[in-house]
Amino acid sequence: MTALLELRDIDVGYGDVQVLRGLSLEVHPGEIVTLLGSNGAGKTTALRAVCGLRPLLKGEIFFEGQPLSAVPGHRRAALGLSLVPEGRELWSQLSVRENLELGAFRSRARAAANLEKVFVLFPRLRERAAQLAGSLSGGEQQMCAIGRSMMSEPKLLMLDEPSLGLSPLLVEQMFKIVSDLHAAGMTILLVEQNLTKALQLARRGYVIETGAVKLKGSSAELLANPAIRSAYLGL
Amino acid sequence: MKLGIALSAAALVALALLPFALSPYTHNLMTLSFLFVATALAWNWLGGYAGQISFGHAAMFGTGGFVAARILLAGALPPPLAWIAGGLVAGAYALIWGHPTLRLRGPYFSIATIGVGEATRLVFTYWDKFTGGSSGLSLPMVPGAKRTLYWEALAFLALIAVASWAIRRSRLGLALFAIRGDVEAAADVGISATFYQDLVLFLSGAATGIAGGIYASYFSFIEPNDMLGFDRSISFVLMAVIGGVGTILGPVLGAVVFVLLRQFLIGSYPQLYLGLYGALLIAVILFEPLGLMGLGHRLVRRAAR
Repeated sequence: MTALLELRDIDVGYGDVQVLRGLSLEVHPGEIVTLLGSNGAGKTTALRAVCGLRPLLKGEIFFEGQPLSAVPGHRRAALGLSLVPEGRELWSQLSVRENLELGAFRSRARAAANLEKVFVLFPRLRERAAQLAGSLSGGEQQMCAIGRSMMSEPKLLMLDEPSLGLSPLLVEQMFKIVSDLHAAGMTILLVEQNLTKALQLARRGYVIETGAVKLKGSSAELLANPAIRSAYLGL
Repeated sequence: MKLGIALSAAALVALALLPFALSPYTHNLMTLSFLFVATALAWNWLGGYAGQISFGHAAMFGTGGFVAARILLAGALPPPLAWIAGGLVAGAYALIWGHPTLRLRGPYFSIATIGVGEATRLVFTYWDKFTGGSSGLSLPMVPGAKRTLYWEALAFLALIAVASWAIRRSRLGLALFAIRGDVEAAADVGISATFYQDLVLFLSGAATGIAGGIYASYFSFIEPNDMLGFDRSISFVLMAVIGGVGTILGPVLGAVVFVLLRQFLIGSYPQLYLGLYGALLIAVILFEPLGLMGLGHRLVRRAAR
């Protein structure tokens, strides 16, 4: 089975600072994979590289077997890649409906049908459709950001710390939503700092440290690994 | 919405009938206002909708004006076609400098546009063969043409106002708002910032160029320092900022206030008026960044309470 997404030995940096050093990972269709690591390990940078927001210094990223380096960032959404960015990055001055419609910018034909799907998934967004996105609560904003991504009918949904800044109750809800999306067939790459939760949800995980994969394996293996337990879980 | 359309239509009719009752001075001032309102709206497509503040729009105003004037002097095309030709050249010129500079955002883009505006002014000043240099170009005066030009300027303004509304409601408008809000998030959903910014700069530059052409016809004399001076570029920014960036009614109100203010300031404080513009710009940005529209909203809210 070819991987839906493959990062092969990529280097990425910001100016003089190299963040990713030979990072490799794979996500297969239908999987939910989690990318773990402490602050500054390079998790967000890896997702930004996949979206084309950071150029590669070395290596290659493949999506459905095709190299992405020649595809500019704004064309990658049409391939079926969608990112729910860290901190949501909604257009706070636009309405919820406009935010969602922008998600379907490249797939207008089914925009109305997809909008309905998103409203079924998140009934709260239907109630707030005319409101400015900036006036939503944190949890609603996260729903709106996920909904925006779903509007483009992605093949791969990348979530960058969806639980960031949410109350414990909303964190539970958020993981439930991710789990439901996966159950409905969505392939998901989940970046999280909440290791326990992420590993309970995902089948496999990668732990990255200073820009490279330090550990990888099934969730059960990672959860049982004493090094992880001490370094990240404080157990 | 319906009320807005009805009011706009009524204003249009009233303005169209007005020249029969105007002194030549007021007639000039009104025509100038129409052109300035139109340029303020066109500037706002880039500055307000896309959030890219240009301090170089005089370059397109001048390009459109001089190209149209040359075509009219050669007698090659009737005025409206000459203006459109001038607008197209101005739009194309905007693309030439805009394509590479629009990847800059915020103050960096603005600084680049100042350079473009000044460079264009200098080229036009020294390009005697095309612009007549500092002594400029004179167009033949046609008796009775001023009244026709009043209506043509008004029709142009109506067109630009409708275009402003249409762009705002369109997919282009949504893309521009997305780019203004967050370029990276826009790229994530598949919006090419390069393409949409280029497109709106072309439209904005072309409209500004057409205004330059009508201005040239109306005043029948143009010279580079008037057409392309830095104060002209500043005036486009000021009109939109005074009224309210990103709105439609804002630049209209802003331009009217600006034209009246300008007449007063140039008459009363000819040495100081540029400094006063600067002070006004700072005051608006400090105290009411959304200009008259913001002030209006605030007063309405206070009255409602």
